[in-house]
This record gives sequence, C-alpha cells and structure tokens, in this order.
Amino acid sequence: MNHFVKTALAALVLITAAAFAQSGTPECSGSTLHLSLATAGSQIFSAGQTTGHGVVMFGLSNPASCVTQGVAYITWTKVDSSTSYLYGWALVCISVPGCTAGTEVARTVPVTGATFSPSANHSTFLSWTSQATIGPGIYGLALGTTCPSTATCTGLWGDVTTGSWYPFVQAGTGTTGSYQWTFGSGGFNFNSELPLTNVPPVLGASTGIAPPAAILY
Amino acid sequence: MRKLLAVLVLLMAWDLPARAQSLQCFYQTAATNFSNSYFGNDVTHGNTGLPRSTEVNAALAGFGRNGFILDGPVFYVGTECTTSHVTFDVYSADTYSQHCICTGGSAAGQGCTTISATTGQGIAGSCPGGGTATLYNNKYDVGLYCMGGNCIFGKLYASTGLLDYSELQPGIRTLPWASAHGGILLPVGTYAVAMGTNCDSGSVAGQTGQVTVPHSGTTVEWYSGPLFVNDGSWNNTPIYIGDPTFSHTISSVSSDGKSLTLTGVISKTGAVGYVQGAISAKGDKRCLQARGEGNGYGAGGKGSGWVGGTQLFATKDFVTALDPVNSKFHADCLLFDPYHDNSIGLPGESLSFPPTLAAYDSGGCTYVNNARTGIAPLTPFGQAPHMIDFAIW
Repeated sequence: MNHFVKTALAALVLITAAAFAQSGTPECSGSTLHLSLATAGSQIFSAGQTTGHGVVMFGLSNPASCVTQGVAYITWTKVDSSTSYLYGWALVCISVPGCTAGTEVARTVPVTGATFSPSANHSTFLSWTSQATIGPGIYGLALGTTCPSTATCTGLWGDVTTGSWYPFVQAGTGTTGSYQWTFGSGGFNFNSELPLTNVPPVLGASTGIAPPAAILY
Repeated sequence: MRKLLAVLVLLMAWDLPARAQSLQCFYQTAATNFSNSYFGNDVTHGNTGLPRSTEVNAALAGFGRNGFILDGPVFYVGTECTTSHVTFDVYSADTYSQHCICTGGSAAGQGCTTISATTGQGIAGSCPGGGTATLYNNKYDVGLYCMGGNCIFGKLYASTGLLDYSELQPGIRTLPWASAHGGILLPVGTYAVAMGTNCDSGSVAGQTGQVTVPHSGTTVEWYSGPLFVNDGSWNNTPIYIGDPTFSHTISSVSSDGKSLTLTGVISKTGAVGYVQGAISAKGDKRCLQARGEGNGYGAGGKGSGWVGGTQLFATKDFVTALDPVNSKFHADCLLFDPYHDNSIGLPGESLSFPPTLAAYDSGGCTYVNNARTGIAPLTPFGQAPHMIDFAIW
C-alpha cells in the first residue's frame, strides 16, 4: 500500500468519523433558537389581516447545527379553539449554506384551532411531521392560518415594539405583490417568492406584526 | 484504489456546495430594546475613575479621558460566519455635538476653560498656558473585539470607524463595518461590542455640572502627587485641585489606614464654575443614547412572563481596573481619541496589542493584561447595568 493510498484511507476514515459525529447533533435549544422572549406584546393571526392571506414569516438565526422536533408558543387571552379553521408552522431556508432558499426543512401538519390553541394563556407546542437537522444560517419560521379576520382567531403572546432584532419579518401579500404565499389543508405554498437575503434587521413589532414568543425545540 | 478515489471525490463534491456559500452572521447583544442607555465612555457615564496621578498620562489628567466601554454580554459565534454591518436604535442624539480642545501652548490636548453657561457645551475660549482653542465635532465608534475561542484575543475584528455625531440621529441606524469589502469573517469564538466617544472630552461639562462656591466639609483622597477632591455634594465628580482657580485650607486629617481624609474648605475663583466630565446617570444623557436593556433585574414583569426590561443578559465592562487596595477603579487601559483631535478611534488590528497609540497600561488593566490569560468576566457580578442592543449581521 503506497503512501497515497494510506493518505486517502486516512482521509476517508476522518470523513466517516465526521459523518458519525454528525449523528450526535445536539437538540436545538430554545435559548438560542427563539423568536421573541418577551410576552408583553400580542398579535392575532388571521387570514386577511396584517398577516396577508394567512401567512407571515419571521427571520430566525441558527448559530450551529442542531436537531429540532417542533415549535412551542404561548396563546393569548383570545383564542380560536374551534375546529373551523386551520393553523400550522413551517421552517424554511433563507440563507443557509447547502440549502436552497425556499426549501421547507420542517413543517407541522395543518391543525384546527382545537389543537393549535386549545385554551387561552397557555404554553403549547406542535411537533414537526418529522424531526429535522438544521445547519447554521438564516431561516424563516412561517405561521399560517385559514382563520378569517371576521372570526375569532387565535392570538399569541410575543414581542413589543421595542423588542428583539430579527433578520426580517415579512407578511404574505395575498394574490398580488411580492410575497404571494398561501396556506391551507395542503400546508404552505411560497410560490418561490421569499424575502431577500441579507436584508437589514428589523426591530420586533415595529414592523406592525408582533413576532410570537416562539421557540424551536 | 480507483473505487476508493471515486468515493473520496464524490464525498468532496458533496461537501463543496456547503463551503461555497458563506454563512451570514446574525447576533444581537441584548434580549430587548425596551430601555435606553449611554453610548459612550466611562467618563461620560460617571467620572468616578479617579486615576492616581502616577497612573495617568499627565496631559490627560483631570479631563475627559475617553475610556471606552465593552458593552453588553459577549456573544458566542458558534459557526464561522461573515458580518458586514451593525445595527442599533438611537434613542436620543448627542446634544453637545462638539468639544473644545487646546492646541499648542502648555496645555495642549486639554480642554478649553470656557463653557457655555446655558448648554454646558464647550466653546472656543481661553486655554491655560496659551494655545488655540479648537472645536471638534464629537465622534463615536463601534467595534467587535475577540474575547476568546478560535479568534485572536483582543483583536479588533470589525469597526465602523469614526462616526460624526450628526450621523447618529434618533431611529434605527445601520452602519457598514469599515473596510468590510464584502464581509468580515468571524472565527468561532466569543466577541464583545466596544463603543467609544469623545462626547465629553475636554471642557464639556456634564448635566448639573455647575458648582457653587465656597464649599466646606470636603473629603480629599490623596495618594501622591496632585490632589483630587471627591466631594459628595459635587456628585463625586473629581476636581483637579491643581487647577489654579481652586484654593483650599485643611482643618483636620484622619486616616483609615488606606487613605487620608482631609477636612477643610475648598473655594474656586468666581461665583460659578463647571466641573469636567459628566455626572453618573445624568451627564451621559446629553451624549448619544441608544436602546437596549434596562430597568433592573425583573422590572416590568408581566405575570409569569417576561416583558422586556429585565437586563437579564447584561454586563457592561468599563475599560478600567479595580484597585485591590481600596476597591476603586483607577487606571485607564484603553482610550478613544487619546490625542483629543479625532485622529484615532478604537484601537485597530494594525496596531500591536496592547495598542500603543490608543491605550496605555499602568499595570492594572484587567482587559489588557489579565484577560489575556483567560480572566474575562462573562456574567454579571452584582450589577445589572443598562446596555445597548446591537445587531451584528
């Protein structure tokens, strides 16, 4: 076995070891993968209101690879606990090395208000359809609903106007505009129209939308 | 062997796309922007450094020293990333706007003696020992220093460069790092935001910096050389007793074994004067303020929730050193605009470390010396200072 082969084998061993090491990727921590930590603000999420046609996306920075199982959040004083309308979350690559912008890396099954927000002032969670290993980068955490603004829709506790910085906060624009995102029983459809990368950070609810105190776990 | 090489090539090719795209940084140094705090140096906040005469550059003694602040907690960069900008929310602008420095003469580099009686702003006036009174626009600077990890400790990785006060009006301000050229690579490690200003440099008086004389019951701390007066009624603002406009008489002397307490009468020529520097939590408000955490531990709590002003993540480290003898902060370690002429901002990486032009080390500077061996406070220790929320991206 010549020197080159030995070197190549050593490299292969190292790469294999690295691959095994990746299998030990830690769970995502709520302390670093959160939107807002504050709960002084609130936002009612409904289709046709500030969230566009039921979809809004919040920028989120992941500093290191981790495994996420789902998303947790806190319901507001008014909630939709009916079975009339759907709610759901998705995690989308925005500026992530090795992940095409717009790729949905995790999503929840669309659920009714009875599951999404069974009671007011309550911390709850939804699991992704399957756990996801997410690398470092900028992601969009999308929240969608079919609840119309004429109904009692679920509110979530979250940020205040002078809250945290976010890479971006962007509401869907319905059937016109730059972000024609939709949400329904089939989940999200971003129509390849996603926020620009490398945009200046925005300051919490100053965007008109109070990001919820949601964390990835 | 060919199969083995093919596998290697495939594995390398699989890894290439991930390496091709640079990871964008996005970090913030506070949890909220609920409060506001001073954007500047330790003198601006409270001129309580009171360095011994043996510790300071004589040309700078008794005047705005322009030490700067490592603000907020360090933030941990978990994966190497590229940063190009810093963003923060200016709460109130610098209302001093300028400071007055003597150029030439025996008092070169020191503050002018004439200060506006209505605004406290330094104006072109007389200079002790001759020289020309020169007005300089106040400047600010923000930078990122490595505090540990794979980055080089103490290296300034990014800086905005000198920012004129006029650029920092209220509202969200996004500034590029100077010479970023498409981004600055931050190795894995912990970083601290440093900010400096010469807002109160020289002759700028702090808010309520007006003093009346004569005054009595003065406590004098005397180590060696010129005396500094630390009078409670003057809000602990040091008065350089070497100032020829002051006179004093000593009526009694006592000692606690560490320092002398001299009781007597101090007077100043004229009816009204201004003290140099600013007063803690007052004078700083006339310099630039930006939003961040505030209100003390737990303040503003809403039920079991967290509203926004808890200062839970807060640390703020003045670049001064704690004297082990009397627990007072003394030495100035790093300086912003040490020549008082806006020629130097934060110590840059082009300088040796410790920087030779923008800093001097009297031997007790925590960040200059001790931290190099791994001692750097990463968590609050008994205080919950206000802090500014910087977004680094």
